[in-house]
Amino acid sequence: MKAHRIVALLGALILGTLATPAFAAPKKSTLGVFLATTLADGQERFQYAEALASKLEAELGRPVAAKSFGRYEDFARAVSEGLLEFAVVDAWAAAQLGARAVPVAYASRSGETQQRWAIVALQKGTVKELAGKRLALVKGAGPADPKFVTHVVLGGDLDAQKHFKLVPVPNVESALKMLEAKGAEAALVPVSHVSKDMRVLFRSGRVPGAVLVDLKGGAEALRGALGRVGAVAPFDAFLAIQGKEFDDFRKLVAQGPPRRQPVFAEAPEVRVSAPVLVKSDELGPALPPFTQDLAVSADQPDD
Amino acid sequence: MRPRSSSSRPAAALVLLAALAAPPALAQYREPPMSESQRLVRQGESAQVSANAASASGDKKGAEEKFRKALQLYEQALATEPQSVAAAAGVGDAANALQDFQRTVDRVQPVYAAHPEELSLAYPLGAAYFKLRRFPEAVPVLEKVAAADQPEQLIVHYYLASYYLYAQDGERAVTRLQRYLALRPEKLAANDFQVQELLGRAHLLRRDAAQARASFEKAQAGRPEAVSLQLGLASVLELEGRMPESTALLERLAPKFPTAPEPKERLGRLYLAAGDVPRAEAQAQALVKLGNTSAAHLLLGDVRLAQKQPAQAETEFRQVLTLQPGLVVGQIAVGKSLQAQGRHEEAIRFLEAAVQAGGNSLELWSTLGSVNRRAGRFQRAVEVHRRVVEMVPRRALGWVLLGADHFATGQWDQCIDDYANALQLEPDHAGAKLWLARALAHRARDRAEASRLDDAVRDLKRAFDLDRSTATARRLGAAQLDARQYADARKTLEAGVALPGATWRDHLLLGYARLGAQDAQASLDAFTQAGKATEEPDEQAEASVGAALAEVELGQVDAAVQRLSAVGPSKAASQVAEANLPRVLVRRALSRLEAGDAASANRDLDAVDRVGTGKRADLAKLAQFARALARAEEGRYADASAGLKRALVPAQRWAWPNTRPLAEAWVLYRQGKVPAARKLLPGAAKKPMPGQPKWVASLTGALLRREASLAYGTGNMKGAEKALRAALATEPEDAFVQHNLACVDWRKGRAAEALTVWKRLEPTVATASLNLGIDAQERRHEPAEAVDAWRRYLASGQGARAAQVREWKERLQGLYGLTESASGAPAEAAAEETP
Repeated sequence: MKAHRIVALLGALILGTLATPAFAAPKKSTLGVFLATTLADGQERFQYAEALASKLEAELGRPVAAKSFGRYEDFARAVSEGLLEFAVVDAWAAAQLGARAVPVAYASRSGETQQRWAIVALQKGTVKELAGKRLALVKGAGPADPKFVTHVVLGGDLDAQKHFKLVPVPNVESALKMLEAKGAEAALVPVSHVSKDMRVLFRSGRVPGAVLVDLKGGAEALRGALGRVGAVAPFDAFLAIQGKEFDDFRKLVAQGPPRRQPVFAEAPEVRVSAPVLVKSDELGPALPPFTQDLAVSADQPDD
Repeated sequence: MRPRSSSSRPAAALVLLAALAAPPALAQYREPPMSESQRLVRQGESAQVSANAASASGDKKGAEEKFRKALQLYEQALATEPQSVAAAAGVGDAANALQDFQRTVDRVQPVYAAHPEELSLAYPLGAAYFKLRRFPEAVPVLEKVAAADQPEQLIVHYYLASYYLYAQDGERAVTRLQRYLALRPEKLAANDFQVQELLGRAHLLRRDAAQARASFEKAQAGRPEAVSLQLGLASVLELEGRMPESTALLERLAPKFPTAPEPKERLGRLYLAAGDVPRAEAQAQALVKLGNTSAAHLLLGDVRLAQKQPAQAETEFRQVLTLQPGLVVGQIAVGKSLQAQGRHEEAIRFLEAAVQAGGNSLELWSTLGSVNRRAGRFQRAVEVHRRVVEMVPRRALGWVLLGADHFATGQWDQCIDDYANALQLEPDHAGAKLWLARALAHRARDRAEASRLDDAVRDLKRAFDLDRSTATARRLGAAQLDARQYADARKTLEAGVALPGATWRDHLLLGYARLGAQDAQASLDAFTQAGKATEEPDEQAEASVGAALAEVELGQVDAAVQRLSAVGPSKAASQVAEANLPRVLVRRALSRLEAGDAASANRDLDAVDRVGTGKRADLAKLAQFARALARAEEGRYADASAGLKRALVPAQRWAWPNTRPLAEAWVLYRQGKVPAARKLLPGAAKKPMPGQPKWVASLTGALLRREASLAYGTGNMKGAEKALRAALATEPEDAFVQHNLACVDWRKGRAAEALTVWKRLEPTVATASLNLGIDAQERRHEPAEAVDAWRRYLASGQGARAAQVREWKERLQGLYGLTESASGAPAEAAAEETP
C-alpha cells in the first residue's frame, strides 16, 4: 500500500513537472501503449507509441504524450491512477481492464484485426501429453489470465489451470526465452511470434489483436479523429469496433463459451407452388377455339 | 297314305280275340271292309293312273277327261270324309293337272292345316300357291316339301329357285338349283344347260363372279352361242369391274345378233353409265328402230335426260307408258323428267295419279316421296316414304329415303334415327353410313354451338366410326379439343393425318392435341409438319404460333418469345400469340419461384411488362401476383404484401377463393412472423382446392417447426415439444421434426433416446451428426467420437454451421492429437490457412 502511494505521489510529481510549462496551454493527454503479446520488441513498442501520439496530437489539436508499458502491472496502475486518456493494448489485456476501458477501434495488421494463438514446445507432442507441465504465459491481471487461456484459446474444451502449471512472464519475448531456457515445457504466444525451430502443438481460433481503448470518457472525440489518423507502422489504419462485438469478447474471456447444446436441423424453406395458388388451366397454353372446324358442307342426300 | 285310324280299333279287337281263341283261329283274320271314302279314293286313283297314261301317250283330250273323272271321285271321297288326307291329296293332284289351282288351294288347305306333316298335301298345295303367284304362302310349304328331298317332287326345287331368283336371294336359289341337279333323273339331263344358266344368274346375285362364269360357261359348252348366256358372261365381267371387256363383248354381240334387243340395250346402258352419251344415243336409236318397245324408249329417254333435254325425255317416257300403260319405271321416268323441267307440281300430280291408279310399286312410292322432297313439300315426302317403310319393312330403302327428307329439313334427331334404322336392316348400306355420318356432323355442330360439347363429341365419334375420312376425323378432333379431351383428340387426329387427303389444318389440330396432352416434342413435330404442308403465309403463321407454344413447354422460351413476338399479319395467329405470350412468361416466372429463383422470375416478369398484356386485365393482375411472390422471395416483404393485395382485389378468375390468405400466410412465414401466419392458415385451408392439402400441410409443418425452433432458442422446451408434436401429427414421417424432437429430449435429459433417433436419421439429416458430436464432447467427454461425428457433418457438405464446427473439430484434434487422416497431423493441415 505504501509503495503504491509513493508511486502515485511520484506520478503526480512527474505529471506536475510535465504539466508545469504548459499550464496555460490546453490540457495534455497521455496515450498508453501496452502490447506485450502483439509487438515482441520493446523498442518497436516505444516507437509506435511516439508515432501514434504525434499523429493524435495533430488530429485532436491538443498535445498528446506517449507512454509505452512493458508489463501489465505498470500499465494497469497507470490506468487506475487515471494517468492515461487512451491506450492501445492487447485485446486480452483490454478485456481484463473491464468497464473502465471503452473499446473504440481495432489496430489491424496486414488487414487482420484478429490473430491466432499457438501453444508451442521444443519437442513433438500433444497438448494432452503436456498435462502437469509448465506453460509460459504473458502475465496480465493474474486471476483472469487462466480464464483467457481456458475460455478463449482452448475454447472451453480444456481447463488450463488444471491441465498446466502456468508460469507467468511479462511478455512474448520472455515467454519464448523461458521455453529455450527450459523454464517451461510450452509457451502460449500469438502465431506470428512462432519461430521455425519450435513445434506448434495447438493453434487457437481467431482472437482479437490490438485495440484502442478510451479510458476517460473521450471515446466520441477519439472516434471522430481516427479516420484522419491513418496507418501508423507497424499497424494499418484503425477500424472502428462495431456494436457490442468487443463486449462479447470480454464476456467470453470472463465466462467462457456457452455449453454446446444440440441444434435444430433446418428443413428447406417452403416455396410457393403455382398450382396451389393459381388455377392450372389458366397457366397452360391458351388454345384457340376450333369451332370453325366443325363446319359441314351443304351437300344433301338425293336418290 | 292309307288312313290308319279307321282300322286301328277293329284290329285291337282282333288281337284280343286272337289271344282268347286257339292258334288256328288266327287264320281267320281278314282285312276289314273299306269305308265309302276309301272306296271312292281307290276309284279316283285308278282314274288318275289312266289319265297319266293318256297324257304320256299324247292323248290330251283323253287325259283331261280322265283327270276330271279322278277329280270328281276324289271330291266325292272328300265330301264323305272331309278330313281324309288321301281324298284331299287326290283333289290337289287332279286339280293341279287341270290347272285349277284355286280349287287345290280351297280344298287342300283346310285339310293341310290339320295335317301340316303330310307331304302328300303340301306338294300340290305349294305348287298351286306358286302357280297363283301367292309366294309368301307358297314358299314355306314348298320349303317343307323340298326338305324331304323326294325325287318325284323334284319340281319344287325348281319352283323355289325361280322364286328366289325373283326375290334376288342368290344364296337360296343356288341351294335349290344344286338340289335339283342332284335329284333330276338322267333322262332330264339334256335340259341341264337351262338350270346352269339359272345357276349363273344366282351366282351373279351372290356376287360370286368365278362361280357365275363357270355356270354360264357350262351352259354354253358344246352349244351354239346364245345371247342370254353371253349377256350373263358380260354381267360377270361387269361384276369383276372389267368394264372395257364387258363393253367389248357386248359390242361383238350386238352386230352378231342384230335382231336381239338386249345386247343393244345393255350396251346403251353401259355407255350411259360411262358418260359416253353419243354412243348410248346410237344404241338407243338402233334399239328403237329394231322395235317400238318400252325398253327402247326408256333407254332413249334416259339418253335425253343425260343430254339435258328433259322435254324430249318426257316424250320418250310417255311413249313407254303408251306401249306399256302403268309400267312403273315408265311412270317414275315421266315424273323425273317433269321435275327436271322444273315442273315439280306436275311431277307430283303425275306420280300421285300413278299411285292413285293402283301403281302400288315401291319405286313409284319412293320416287313420289323424293319428288315431293325436291319440290320442298317435306311433309308429303315423309308421309309417302313412311309408306315405303311399311311396304318393305325389312329393307333399308324406306328409312334411307326418310333420312334424306329429314336431312333436307335439318331435323337431325329424326334423320339420325332414320339412317340408324336403315343400318339395322342393312348394316353395310354405304349411302346410309355416309349420310348418317353427315347428319351426325350437322347435329354435332349445332350442339357445339349450344355448348353441349360432350354430346357433340359423342355424335362425331359415331360419325367417325361410320366414315373414316380426314374431314370427319378433323371435326371429331376439333370437338375433342374444344372439350379439352386432349388424349382422345390426339388419338383421333393421329388417325386423321394418316388418312389420304390430310391437310395442314389436320396437322395443326394434332399439334394442339399433343400440346394439350403434354407431349411437347410430338406437338412441335406436328406444328412443323403443318407449316410445311401449306404455302399460305397466314396458315404458316398459325403453325408457327403453335410451334412456339410447344417450344415453351420444351423450355425453349427465348425462341418461343421470338416467334410469338413476330407473327405477321395473320389475325388468327396474332390472337393466339397475344393470349399466350404473357401467360408463358408468367408461368415460367412462377416455376422459377417454385425453385426459389427470384432473380430469374423478375426477369420474366420484366419481359411481361415489356410485351404488355393487351386488354387482358386478368393477365396483368396475374403478373402482379407473381411479382409479389418474387418480392417475398427477395425478402422485400412489405412490397410483397402490398403487391398481393393489388393483384387479388377484386377477386380474380385465375385465383382460387383462398389464394390470397394462402399467399399472405406464406409471406408471413418467410418473414418469420410465425404466430401471424399460423393464425391465418387454418381459415385459408378450411375449403382446400385440388392440390392444396399437401402444400398447406407442408407450410403448417414448417410453421410448427419454426415455432418450435423459436421456443427452443429461448429455452422453452415445453413450447418446443408441443409444436413439434403437433408437426409430427400432420407429418409423422418428417425426419426434421423427429430430429428436432430428439434435441428437446436431450435437453430434458433423455439423451439415450435422442442418440437413438439421431443415429437413425444421420443419413438424411446432416445436423444429426453435429448433435452426436456435441453429445460426445459435452456429455460423455469423448473428444475422439466428437471429432468423428463432426467430420461426418462436415463431409455431408450441407451444414450451415460448417465454419464453427470445423473450428471445434480442429480444436479438439489439436488438443488431443487426433489426426485427420494418414496425410499428417491436424496442426500441419491447419497451418496452410493460417494468416
